Amino acid sequence: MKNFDCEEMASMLDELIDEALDPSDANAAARAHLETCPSCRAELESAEKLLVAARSLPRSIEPERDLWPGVIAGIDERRVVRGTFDRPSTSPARRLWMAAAAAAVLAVSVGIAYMAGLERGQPRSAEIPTTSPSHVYTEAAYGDLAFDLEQARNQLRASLDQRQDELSPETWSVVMDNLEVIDTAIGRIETALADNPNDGRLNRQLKMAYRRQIDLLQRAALLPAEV
Amino acid sequence: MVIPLRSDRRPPMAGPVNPHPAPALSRLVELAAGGDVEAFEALYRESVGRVYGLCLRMCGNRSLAEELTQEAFIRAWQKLPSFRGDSAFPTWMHRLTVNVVLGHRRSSSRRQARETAAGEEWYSDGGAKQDRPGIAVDLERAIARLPERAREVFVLHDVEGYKHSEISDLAGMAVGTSKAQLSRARHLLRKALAS
Repeated sequence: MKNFDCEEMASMLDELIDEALDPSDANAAARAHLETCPSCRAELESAEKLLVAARSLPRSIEPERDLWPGVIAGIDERRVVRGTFDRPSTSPARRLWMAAAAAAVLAVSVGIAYMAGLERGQPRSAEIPTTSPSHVYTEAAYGDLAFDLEQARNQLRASLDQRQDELSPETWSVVMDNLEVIDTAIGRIETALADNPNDGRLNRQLKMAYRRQIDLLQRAALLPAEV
Repeated sequence: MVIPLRSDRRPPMAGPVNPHPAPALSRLVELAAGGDVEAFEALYRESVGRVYGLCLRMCGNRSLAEELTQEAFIRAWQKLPSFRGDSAFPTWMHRLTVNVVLGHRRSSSRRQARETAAGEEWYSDGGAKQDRPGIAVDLERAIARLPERAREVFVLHDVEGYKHSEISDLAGMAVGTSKAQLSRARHLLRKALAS
């Protein structure tokens, strides 16, 4: 049987407490060393105590706040009813309406691009001092961004309502279903934000939900007339 | 909808797996997979403690753990329709959570934010309200202060009961690396607890 020294014992400590050693020569040699070496014995006892403590830790820890509102908001945000918007159109009124819709979309897109630049850290206007602490600036910007996105959403929605008669009931239903899903998500996120106004994840979710709705409205606004 | 829940609040999420989960839980999974949000909320209430506990110990930061817990359940909702019941739901959920946490670490774009957050908020008194002995609180604090990879391997191996081969698959590291990280973690913890 090979004799172990303390250095070899230290390298085998983990295998020893995990009982991963071949229960033959190596194990016996290690045990023999432990019987004569108080220092290594103390090391082993300490390692075993740690393992027992780790395995005794409660595996369940309740979060300090209810995380469900954020979960359901995230689910709603990513759950959009799928529909097809690629129907051909021959309506004579389509061209005029499309021009108006395209102008609205362009305006909103420019606004979104501008706001995207804002998120990347570009100042929104000269009124914002460049020396402001970044977190203060970001919180204010998120508030403005959500407000602007809501305004854009409302304008597009009003435009879409005006052409309900041009779309088939099926298409209209798909668009409305999608809007309702996102509206539900926005409602839930806003409710959760009322309790946790500084929750970064919820603020990002709110912004994303508005963007998805605007994207949907943009696509719906460009649908060819069907009726 | 009223669905009776299992009385066991600590389902085994690693180690030996019961191939026949309690009917109530399997029914909840079935309903949730079909799009029943209420059933999914019941599943969430049933397992949030295990998921959050795992996230908290693996990342060592409370606010990040909350975010990862939410992400784990959102992904579970998305993947539930493809859940075939080959393993018990708690085991599936546990593995999914580990993947979310490890995936977050692998995301280099988030590294800086995470390191900043970890410096701001260490695990300090999590669970202390649950009447726990001092050594458990000290150990929790010491685990939270371990280097990231050593902490992950220690939590998976010594707390959750994973084998090195499983950690190797999950974390994409060699078995030898997993053993070395565990050894490092244990050494640092013994040192921290002795001081």
